[in-house]
Amino acid sequence: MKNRSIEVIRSGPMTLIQDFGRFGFEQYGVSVCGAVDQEAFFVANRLVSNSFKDAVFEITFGDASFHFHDESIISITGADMQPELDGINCPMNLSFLAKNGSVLKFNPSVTGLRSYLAISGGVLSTQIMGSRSMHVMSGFGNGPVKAGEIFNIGESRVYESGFSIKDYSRGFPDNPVSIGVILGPQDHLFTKESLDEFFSSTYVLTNQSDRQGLRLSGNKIPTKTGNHDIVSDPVTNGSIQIPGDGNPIVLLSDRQTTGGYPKIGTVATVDLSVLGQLKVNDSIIFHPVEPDDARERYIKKLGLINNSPLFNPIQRINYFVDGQHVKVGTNESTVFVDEHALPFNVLEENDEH
Amino acid sequence: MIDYPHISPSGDSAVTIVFGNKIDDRSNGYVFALKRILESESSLSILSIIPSYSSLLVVYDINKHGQGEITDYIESKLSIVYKSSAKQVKKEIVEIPTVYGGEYGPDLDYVAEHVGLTRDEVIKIHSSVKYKVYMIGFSPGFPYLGGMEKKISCPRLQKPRLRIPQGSVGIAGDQTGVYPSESPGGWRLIGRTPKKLFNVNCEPPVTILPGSYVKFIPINSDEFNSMTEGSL
Repeated sequence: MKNRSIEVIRSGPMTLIQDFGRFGFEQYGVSVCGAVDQEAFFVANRLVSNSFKDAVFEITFGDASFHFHDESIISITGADMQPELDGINCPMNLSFLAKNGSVLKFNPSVTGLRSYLAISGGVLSTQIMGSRSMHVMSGFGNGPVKAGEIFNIGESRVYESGFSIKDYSRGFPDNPVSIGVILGPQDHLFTKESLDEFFSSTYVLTNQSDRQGLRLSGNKIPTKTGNHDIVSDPVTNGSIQIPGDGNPIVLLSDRQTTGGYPKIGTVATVDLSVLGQLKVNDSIIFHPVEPDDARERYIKKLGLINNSPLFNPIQRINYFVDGQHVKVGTNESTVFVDEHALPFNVLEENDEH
Repeated sequence: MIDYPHISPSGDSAVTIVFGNKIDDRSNGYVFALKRILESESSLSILSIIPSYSSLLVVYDINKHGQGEITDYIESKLSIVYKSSAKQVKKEIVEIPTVYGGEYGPDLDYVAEHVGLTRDEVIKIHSSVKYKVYMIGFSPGFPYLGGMEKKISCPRLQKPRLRIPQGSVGIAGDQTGVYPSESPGGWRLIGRTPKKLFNVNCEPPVTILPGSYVKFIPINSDEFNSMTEGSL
């Protein structure tokens, strides 16, 4: 059988292939990687009936476009890059059909930083140590993706589109965004005053931030002794390091596996995804949380994403779009429409079926 | 001050077990003893275990376990950890054939001058020790080795090189190490090995395992070339 595929027409500032991440190899110095906004990644895959292990495109900043070589059911989540399919605005957080020959365009991001494009069947790039996640620093996956590259797509697991997850919605982050932090493992190296300072200050994202970590600027957090070197020890997703200049660094997907700066705390798993959508000059306020409370929030959120039924929110009425008759809510239509996809340039409604 | 071992949350899905705050064989032994127990005996859903000089990070499946369950299990194993690491574990030694000096180790002359020894003396001292692999970090397969003679310690470069060839053997302060892949770095380069230390297609992907030992074996450039060809 012929492989299904998708071609990259424009790759924009940075487009990567990412999946859940490369676990179990940190002891060999291999970064975990994976989608930075894990929530958007899970939702995108769920909408097209992929597994959480399937790979998607992570589009940063926007300005990317793709050419479908085969009919595909797709979904877009995360940052709002006002995506257009063959020139028509397309919905987010809803599965829809791209035809053979369709062109999907992501505009520069309006809200958020990273969009996720999932295609039913998943992107089948080369697996390295069990994962397709590109790691630019290590050369894994030869990323980022380049214009003209063609990627195979797995066999579609779904034949219908137009679905969203019942009772699920994703708001965009407040500014400043409030982020839960679990203290440790080196919180004992800081005074009570330093910890209070950390939890009452507003931190701003600097332009030194990337997939490896968010470098923040704000009130400086000195250690008790003034020494900010520890014997190198392991770090994890969301570890908050305080280097010698006192400005926190929040480690993300592409982090190295160990580090020599003291870690005041770790971001709650449920709050990590939103960090993947922050832009330069966005701000953060941290608040302390207990591990069990943070876990409960995560399990509740994940349960909703994984188990809430898929439903078709589309009103089955016909629209005239730019004078053309578009059958909304069937697989023959150009796109599926729901209220999130509006504004469409709807000229006239026609209730006759 | 805190007491060791110190078990601390690293978020809601990981814990760090700290056995000390120094680089020493004893804490590192406890780290690997606990790692062995978690890998071979526990039925917990563990995603990753990362060993380092004196602490171990355990990432578990947040859907299956609360933190209390993990810390209780680890606490219950600590007495075995302290006993088992006292037993002599078989020392696996990985030999690293290395050409010293010249284009392979452009900083050998500087190091020799800095420490007031001849080039040959530096090579002899560097290649006579069995180094313990305390941990791997910084980049894929990069070993942090312990046990270098202080007689040949040398500070890092003021300004790191942007491109260090794969296999470069370097010195930084009291430490020595090997760059498994081309990368930027500030270590003083004294030699280079043709041995491939990291291969994504191998399981495990590293030649030097954390917890093992390495020994540098001096070779000449002809041997380097034949070993490089042989590995293609």
